[in-house]
Amino acid sequence: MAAIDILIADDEPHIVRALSFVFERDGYTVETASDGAAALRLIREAKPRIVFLDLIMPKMTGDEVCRTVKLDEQLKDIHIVILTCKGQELDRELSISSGADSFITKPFSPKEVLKMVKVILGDSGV
Amino acid sequence: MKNPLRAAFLYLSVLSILPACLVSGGTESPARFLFFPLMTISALYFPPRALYVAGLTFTILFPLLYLFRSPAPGHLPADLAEISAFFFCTLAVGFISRHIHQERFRYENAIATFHSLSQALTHKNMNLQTALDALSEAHKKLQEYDKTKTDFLSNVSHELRTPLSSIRSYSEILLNYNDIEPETQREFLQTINGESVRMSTFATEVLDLIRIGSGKHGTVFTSVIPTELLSESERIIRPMALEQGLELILGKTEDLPDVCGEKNQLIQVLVNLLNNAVKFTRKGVIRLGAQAKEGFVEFFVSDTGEGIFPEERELIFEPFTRIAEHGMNRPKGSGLGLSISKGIVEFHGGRIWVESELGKGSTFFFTVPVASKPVPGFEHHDHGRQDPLLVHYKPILVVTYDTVSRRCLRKKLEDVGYHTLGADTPARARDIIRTMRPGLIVTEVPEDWEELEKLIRCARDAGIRILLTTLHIHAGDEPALAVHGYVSRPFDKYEIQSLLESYQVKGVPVMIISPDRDESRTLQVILGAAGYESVLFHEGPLAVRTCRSSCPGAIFVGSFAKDRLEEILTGVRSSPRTGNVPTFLILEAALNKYVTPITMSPTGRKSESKSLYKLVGEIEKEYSKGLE
Repeated sequence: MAAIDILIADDEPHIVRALSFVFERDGYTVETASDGAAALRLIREAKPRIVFLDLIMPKMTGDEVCRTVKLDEQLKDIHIVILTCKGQELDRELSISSGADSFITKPFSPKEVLKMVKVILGDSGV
Repeated sequence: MKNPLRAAFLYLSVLSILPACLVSGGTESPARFLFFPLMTISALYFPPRALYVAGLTFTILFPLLYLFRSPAPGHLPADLAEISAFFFCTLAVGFISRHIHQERFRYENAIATFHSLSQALTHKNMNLQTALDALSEAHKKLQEYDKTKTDFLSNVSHELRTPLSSIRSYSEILLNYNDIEPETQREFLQTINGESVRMSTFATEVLDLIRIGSGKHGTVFTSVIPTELLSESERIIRPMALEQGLELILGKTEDLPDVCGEKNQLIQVLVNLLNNAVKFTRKGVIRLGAQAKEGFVEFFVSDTGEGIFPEERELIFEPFTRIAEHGMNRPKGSGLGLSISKGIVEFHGGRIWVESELGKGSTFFFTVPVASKPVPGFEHHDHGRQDPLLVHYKPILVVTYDTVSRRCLRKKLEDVGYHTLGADTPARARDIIRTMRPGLIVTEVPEDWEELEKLIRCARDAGIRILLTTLHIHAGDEPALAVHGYVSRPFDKYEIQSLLESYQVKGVPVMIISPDRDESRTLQVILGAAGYESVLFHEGPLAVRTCRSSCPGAIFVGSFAKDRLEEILTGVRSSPRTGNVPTFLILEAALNKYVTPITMSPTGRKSESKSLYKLVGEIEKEYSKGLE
């Protein structure tokens, strides 16, 4: 499988659709997953540069996926963004302890997220 | 105490010096000097009066020895000096003894004060400990409540945030991109619309749940025809079921008694269950129906879905728990439906549960109490006005070992318009509590206190009050036993004092008969502090014998098993001397919090119907308290 730019993993299809719409409009290649296990498989196969992970997903939670990725020598440089809920302190702690690079809180502005993606990918030399 | 005996001993020992002198040489005998040390030592032990009497008698009698003196002439001044020495010694010793006795009295008083103070302190301490226990329990409850509330809020916020997220994202996209194709625009708008509907439905459900939780329904119960509930819910769900290709079968519903409740809420429960059934069933049949069951109508909704795991069967009624069907991701919905249904059913005095077999389907059941039988001349109301007769919709559970007394009490209660249920043991009662929800439990002193405690715990969890009576109801006989009142740990000095005063118990020692030594000793201390002397007994027969011979002022009976208790009480009651002695039952502390004991005054024993009447009155009073 060819390398892609962004992987979005969330069990809420509307969120996935909104994010992928915005990213694809700006010419990024996007893959999506609706559960943790599928996300991990896609990360291994497609080596995305940025991964968006929802915390609560079936089969494998976002922080579990993140922890696995960060422990893998080949994958640990992938930038992981965790989608958290505002005000949920536990969520924030979980994302920090799992080694995520950054997190955004729901509800978020797609524009801001796009800006963030540009900065991350720009820094890594696109 | 035994003062005359002690005084006699003193006289005897002092006066015995006289014959001693006579034998050993008359007035010149050295034995006469024994008088001084004897009197001095006696000053320590005897009261001044006895010393004066003994000393003066000796002084008067001593000159008699001169009669026996040998012809040698006496020296009168020397003799007089000797006699006055005896006299003054007596005075001095008496004076000293008075001082010693005064001091001793003061000392004893101080000790007694100290003892009563320390008893009062112990009692205060116990009261404080109880207060502390109650406080820490309340604190723990508050903390639990707080946690539940926090969890609830964070769940609510999570549920609101997800649709809000979509709405925000899509509206922003629509605003920022001008060149989106019309179909995509429409798709996004549809999503926004769908999500906002989801949010508002959720908000309504949360409000429902909160309203049920706080008990402020503002609802009016009327008698409702079950068939109407079933057919109306079926009508609402049918299109949805057909759309999914499911068959919807309404069972036979003839001969069902009317139930007592709020029609719309009951329909909401049925629709909710049907909705879930449709949602979780891919193909097959959904059945709904109802049947009458001892004071209740039991409704059911069954499906041929995947079934529910055993560990999830309780959990699904908790707010925000959603179970994922195999192969499906998160099912739609707020996860509040079943907890709302549970709230409504319990508010109606019924119960909701699920039976399920994996791979074959699930059946949800719930019960609603039957409306009271219509009284002649009293029509059914269906237009929202509260029917006062329907207030009695929750049955009263009567638990007695004896069938006759149970039947008798149930009949009396049913005569005044209550539904009743019966059980012959606390264990059976617990089963009944699990399946139906009585409004009140009436029980008697148990054969096994542990069994009663289990029943109380069970009732407490279900929020049902318990009335404890020691009255035995028989169709023809007098009630077998009655106590005048109850006391329970922690014993309250003032409470016990006023209880005893109300029966004019004073002067005579009271009797404590309890198998629990610790308990009876504590009670004895408290009684002592309240100014009552008491005697302890740890077994019945001896206590009854002593009681009959000594006739105590009052009797406290501890937690004996029913047979033993009955033996003691009948023993006390059957004797004309002790038949009217105020008798109080010592209750387990744990029982007291959740149990209201009915006390029957001794006058109530005069006629069976009168005391039964009073018992029914007490039950009615308790029942209406439970409704508030």
